[in-house]
Amino acid sequence: MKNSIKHCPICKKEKNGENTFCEIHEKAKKSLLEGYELWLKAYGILSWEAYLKELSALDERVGKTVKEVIDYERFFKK
Amino acid sequence: MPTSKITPPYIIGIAEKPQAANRLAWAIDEQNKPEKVDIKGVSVYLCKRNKKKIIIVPAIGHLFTLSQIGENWLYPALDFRWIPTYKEGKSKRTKKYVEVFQSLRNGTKDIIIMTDYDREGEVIGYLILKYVFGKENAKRMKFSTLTKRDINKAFDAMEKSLDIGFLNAGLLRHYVDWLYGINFTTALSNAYKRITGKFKLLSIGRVQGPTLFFIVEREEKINLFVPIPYWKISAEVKMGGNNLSVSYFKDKIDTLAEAQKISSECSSLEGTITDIKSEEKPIYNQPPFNLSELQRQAYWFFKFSPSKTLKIAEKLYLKGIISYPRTDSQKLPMTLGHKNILSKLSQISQYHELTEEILEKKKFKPFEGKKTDAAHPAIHPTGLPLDSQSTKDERNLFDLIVKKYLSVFAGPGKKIEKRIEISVNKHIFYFKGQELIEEGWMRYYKPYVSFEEKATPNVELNDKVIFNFIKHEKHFTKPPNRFNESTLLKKMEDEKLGTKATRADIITTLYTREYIEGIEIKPTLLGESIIRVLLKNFPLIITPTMTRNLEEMMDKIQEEKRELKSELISIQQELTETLKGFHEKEEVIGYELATDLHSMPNNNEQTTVLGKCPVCKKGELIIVKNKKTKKRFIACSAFRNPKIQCKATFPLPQYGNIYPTEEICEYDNLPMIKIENKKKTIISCISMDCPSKKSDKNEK
Ligand SMILES: [Zn+2]
Ligand SMILES: [Zn+2]
Ligand SMILES: [Zn+2]
Repeated sequence: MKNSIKHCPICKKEKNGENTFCEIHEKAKKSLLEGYELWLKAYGILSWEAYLKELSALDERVGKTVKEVIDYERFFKK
Repeated sequence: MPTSKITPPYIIGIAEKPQAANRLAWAIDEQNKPEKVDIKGVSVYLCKRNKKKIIIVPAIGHLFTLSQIGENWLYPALDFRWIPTYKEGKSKRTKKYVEVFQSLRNGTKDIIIMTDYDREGEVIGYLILKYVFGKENAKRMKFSTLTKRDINKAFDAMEKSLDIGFLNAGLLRHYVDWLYGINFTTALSNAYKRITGKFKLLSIGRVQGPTLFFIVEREEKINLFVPIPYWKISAEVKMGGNNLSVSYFKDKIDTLAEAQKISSECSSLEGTITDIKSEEKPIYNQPPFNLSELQRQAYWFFKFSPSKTLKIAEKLYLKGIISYPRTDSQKLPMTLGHKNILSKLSQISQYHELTEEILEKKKFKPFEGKKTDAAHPAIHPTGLPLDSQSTKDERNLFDLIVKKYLSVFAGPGKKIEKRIEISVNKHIFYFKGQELIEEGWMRYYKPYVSFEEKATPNVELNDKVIFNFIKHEKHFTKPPNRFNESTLLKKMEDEKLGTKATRADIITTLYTREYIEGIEIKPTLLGESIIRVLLKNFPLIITPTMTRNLEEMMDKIQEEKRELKSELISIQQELTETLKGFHEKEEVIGYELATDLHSMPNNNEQTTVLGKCPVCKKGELIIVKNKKTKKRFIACSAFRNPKIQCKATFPLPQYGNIYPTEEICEYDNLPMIKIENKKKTIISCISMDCPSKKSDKNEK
């Protein structure tokens, strides 16, 4: 169990102890959270899940690394 | 003596290229009939002037290159010397040019350097002077076009010495590029090998590093991009019998609530004209071309890559048709004789009419920009027409250069901008129209400039107007664009990376090393990985600051405010420090590179990668050993790939050490390898059928 904690659940690269992901996927997560703030402002009401779903549908404009985090958040996270 | 026609004593004129030698000789000879003499397949020209014999001999760009003193693949490598390029096994065609200079050495009583007037030209001339003739200085001709007028002026006003500032700045650039290139390439490749046991050439240069960094940085922004929604109000009115689209005063609406509110408050679709404004505005002229602006516009209009534009411009220059293209200048001094150039251009039928108009106005003071160059004016035509063999590309570029030149003699254009303000329930919309009233410079720069007229309907203040629709539309912010060759070149220029002469080549190198790919430039896995590892461990190498400092240092040396020797020593010391740090981290760096490139070692297999496979273009050429016979040969790594099963093989000598090189054979584009045995070291193409291995005698 302890072994698996040291790797990024998306790309299996090594990560820093505290973080959920590796460096680049952490950055993507941060970008995703910042995006959520702005989407929330734009729509007034919007759940995190609805936000992720909308982004998934936008496809080509969403950054590749961000998309990997979205898929992880939507389908693999407990 | 190579031929009886050439009898000492004589003066040697050193030209940069064969074609330049031809034009120089024709202009310098009193009768304009120099005698062409063939030595070893190189044309040299015997000229007479003021009862003196001058032999003009071409180089073919650089004939010498820096070579390491000491053992290869160890760093820091700090000691180097100049040797003829062909002795490194590179550019074999330079050999005969060196030999021609050598054969003429003994009868030489004086030397005139006639290479292009810039840092590189100074270095090319100096190296021949020093390493063939054993001299430190010579006379120097300085010219910006290969026209008879300029060449003769330059001959009569010849300098007694080389331009030492230019020379030292040029030499320093060669030294520093060599030092950085060899040391970091060695260090990276060693680090990789230390972990994987495989040799892979991982090269990085002084300017390539920061340039690649921009591309990787941009790609990361794209990969991390999250689009944000916003809304736009789209509206159309009926005015003067036409349906016209108008714009809402606010370009972007941030929230859905606000966008909906606007739509609903405008639902009457009835508006009133609340203001009509009309304003005359100038359309300013653009400065003459320097190299980067020419490259930018040629990319835009003809899709020429920056290196292609430079190549074509160089050709036109060597034919004497345009001025020296490697310039930063946006100045066209009056001493160029614009009236004379324009009169000549007027004899070219397609420019006759436009040129006559300018000649009639008798205003020969061109519009100029601010940028200057230490040696050359802005790019301009000389008045000579294209020859009949000119290619379509040459004709296109020539046309662009001529039209630009013509346009700078005309004043600004003039237009009238009209703005109609329409209010709907306190919401404001605009219709904007424009009309051209004076073409100005644009008349001469067609088809490279165009003006879109937009007629304004005849309406009056307080008129009622009816909208066809007013609605809100959802949009999303877009990720930043990838660089293309043209925008990357601009970025390098803005960041002061490289020089006007080298930028285009650096981009090409990044492509050939497979660090970047695509017309919209993306880093490859390899490119990305190198930047990531260096950024983490040695950010200094790839951030633009260091390179920029160096460019500034070279400028100071050029102005002779700093000394070459002391600067070089301090660079060597700094480099040694950095490399010490690299050495300590070699294992970490190697590990990071290997993980990124998915090449952690498995069962101790040693692989040497020589280059890309020319047959399947997917695999890599590697050295393999036949398990039974123990004989070694070159095969393609895609051999075992079931989809490719590439069968490419090349034989290898069975004795001696074999190393990859960065070189590509100039005959068949196959990788070159270094073969080292007790007796000698040679650099050779991997192909047995390569033309470079046939006897040199048949070389043209
Ligand atoms: Zn990851
Ligand atoms: Zn192959
Ligand atoms: Zn070859």
